[in-house]
Amino acid sequence: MLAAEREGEKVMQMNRALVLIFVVLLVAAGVAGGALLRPVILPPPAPVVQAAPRPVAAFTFTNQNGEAVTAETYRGRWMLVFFGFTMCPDVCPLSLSYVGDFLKALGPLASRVQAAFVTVDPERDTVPVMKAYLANFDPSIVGLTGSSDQLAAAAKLFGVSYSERLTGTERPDGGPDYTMDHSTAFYLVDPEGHILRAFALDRDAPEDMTAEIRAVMAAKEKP
Amino acid sequence: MIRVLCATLFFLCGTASAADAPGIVVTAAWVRASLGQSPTTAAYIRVENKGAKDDRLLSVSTPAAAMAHLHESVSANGMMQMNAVPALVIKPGQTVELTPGGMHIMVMNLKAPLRAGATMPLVLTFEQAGEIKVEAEVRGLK
Ligand SMILES: [Cu+2]
Repeated sequence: MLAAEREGEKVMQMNRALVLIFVVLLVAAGVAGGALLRPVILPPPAPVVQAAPRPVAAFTFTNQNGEAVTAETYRGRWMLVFFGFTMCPDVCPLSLSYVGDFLKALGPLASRVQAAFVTVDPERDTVPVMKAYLANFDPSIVGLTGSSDQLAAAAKLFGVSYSERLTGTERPDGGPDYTMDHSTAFYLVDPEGHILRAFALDRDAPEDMTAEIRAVMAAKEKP
Repeated sequence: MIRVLCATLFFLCGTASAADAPGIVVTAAWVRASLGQSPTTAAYIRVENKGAKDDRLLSVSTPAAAMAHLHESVSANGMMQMNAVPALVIKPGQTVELTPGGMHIMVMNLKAPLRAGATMPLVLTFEQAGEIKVEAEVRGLK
């Protein structure tokens, strides 16, 4: 092979190497560029936004008379649902007495409302305990208790939280005593079972809650 | 003489031992009647510090129940909790009122149900004023 030919061969090899490097760089740049560009690329147009469907109340419980009830039992009527427990000495009696005031303030519309007290402490709040406790409040209030699973399912739907907390003291039987932390909102459910909204008494004055529920009911109850 | 009057007419005096502890005056004591079989209830008082020094309510007891603790109902992230209040400070000239939905004396493991119209003794122990005994009127819901 001539020296010139060898030289030409070397140049061609160098050229091929350069091309290869160029291609590699190009591909790398493309990948990097793509990665950089990706977040900028607009997503396909979203379908027309629909209002989130309101959760529908669903539950299975036992009332204070020992009868099995479900959400369907109360369909066709408004519901005002409150979660608490009978050994709650301060906030729960206050809230339940507000429910009584609310029903009185509603006047004739009250017959369209079923108020319900759901216990977050079903272990201690058995049917007879619930019955004796509710005897102190408006007689139309229904008390609902059940298994811990029934409670958990209903609480999840309403967005209610509750948890047991040891008080650091003893029960008369010697066991550790506990109290319940719990959500204290009132939930308004319409006759179709939709959970419309929650009222919190530390935020909404009882009169405001009454006025708003009356307005919502009046709008819907119009013939 | 005042003490004798107070002891016999504690409803009018509001506090049975005001004469012993002029700094602290406890009035308007009431306790919610038992609801069903619930062995737990809550009592409420008004405490006024007429003295010149800070005082602290350290503990509460009642012969009617195994335990009584000062609690506060507090709402945090939509959850209602009852927290123990280790010591309630009352400054000179200050009046602290315990009311439903806020601070309360949690009465636990009642020995017998409380009926409206009766009274329940409450023994309040203050750091400065010492023991003050009041009769809490047993009332309905509010
Ligand atoms: Cu408490």
